[in-house]
Amino acid sequence: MTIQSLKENKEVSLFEMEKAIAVVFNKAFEEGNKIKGLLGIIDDVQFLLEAIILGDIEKAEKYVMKFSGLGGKDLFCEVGKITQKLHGSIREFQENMRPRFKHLPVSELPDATDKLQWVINKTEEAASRTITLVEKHLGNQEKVAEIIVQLEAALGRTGALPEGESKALEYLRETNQELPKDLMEILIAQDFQDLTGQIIKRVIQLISDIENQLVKILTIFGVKMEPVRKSEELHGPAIKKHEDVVSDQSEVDDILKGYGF
Amino acid sequence: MDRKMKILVVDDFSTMRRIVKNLLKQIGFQNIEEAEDGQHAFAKLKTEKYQFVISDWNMPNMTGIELLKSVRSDPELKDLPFLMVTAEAEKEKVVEAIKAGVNNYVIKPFTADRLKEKMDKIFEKFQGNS
Repeated sequence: MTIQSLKENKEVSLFEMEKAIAVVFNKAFEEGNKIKGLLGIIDDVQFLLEAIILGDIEKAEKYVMKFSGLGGKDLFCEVGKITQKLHGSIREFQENMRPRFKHLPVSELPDATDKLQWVINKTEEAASRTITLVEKHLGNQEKVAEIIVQLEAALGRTGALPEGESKALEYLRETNQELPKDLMEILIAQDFQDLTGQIIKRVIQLISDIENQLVKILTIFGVKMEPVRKSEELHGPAIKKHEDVVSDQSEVDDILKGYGF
Repeated sequence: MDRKMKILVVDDFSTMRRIVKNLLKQIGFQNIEEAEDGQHAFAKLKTEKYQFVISDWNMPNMTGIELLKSVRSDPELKDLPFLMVTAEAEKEKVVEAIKAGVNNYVIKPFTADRLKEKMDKIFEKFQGNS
């Protein structure tokens, strides 16, 4: 990789570059100690390279002028050697990092997001079907209640009902009265879709952030991704309780009370 | 409380809107409308007359807290009863909503009784004030 291409990636690569440069210059400084008098020049080379990476052409030119002012074939020879070392170290750094990056499952991240979106869709579908049925039976329950009242009135007019039929009618009425409460329970139980959906949406966002960051890093190092087929398992979202999170409505009520509610 | 009052239920999850709507119907309210985020809700509130808002917090485009703040700073809407029904359970969030002028706060998951209790409480207060 040349200095030029590093420069192109400067907005995302500066941090990694600085690390690489630090490694290189540690080595360069060791060399510098051996070659007395070169330390100052190495400093200048560092500033020159930083100026190039940062795209500060004016500053870079100043250093080039300074070098040409110093003159001498030997100096340029030394600068050349250092540049070569720098080049080698950056390449070494890339070679070391590349195999590690290669096995990151970046290409599987969009797939994971799709799977999670699928879960949201499926739970929404299921919840929706359940609610539609609950609504239907809530409507039926009201109608049945009316019919029972009419039946009781009609049968009451014809005189006393035999005990068996009277009890049967009572059973119908009681069962029908219990229905709305249970249907409401079923209805409210569907809130799992909203609660799990919100958590999953946050995880999807997190995955997409991680993916973007990884892709940026990989672009810097010019790593070609190889799809890795690891285990397909997906872990459900772990929900930790924190201290600043209330655990139930009563705690919310306490806060409300504190504000005069 | 007036069973005929017009209520706006605001939530980005249709499941939750349907749950709240059915609960309200069960309590006896018939005039219920829905909005999928704060933006749609605010547009509805500006064009039609509502007597009560039940809103989620975390929604795209315009969140529940932004809706609440917009409602409170609007001369026509500022006194509208506003109930927050949300999974946001951080104490900080509850306090933020209170400071923004929420009338009550229910955390998900909730029960029909809790929703009714909180609504009753809001109406009591409004009657007490008037």
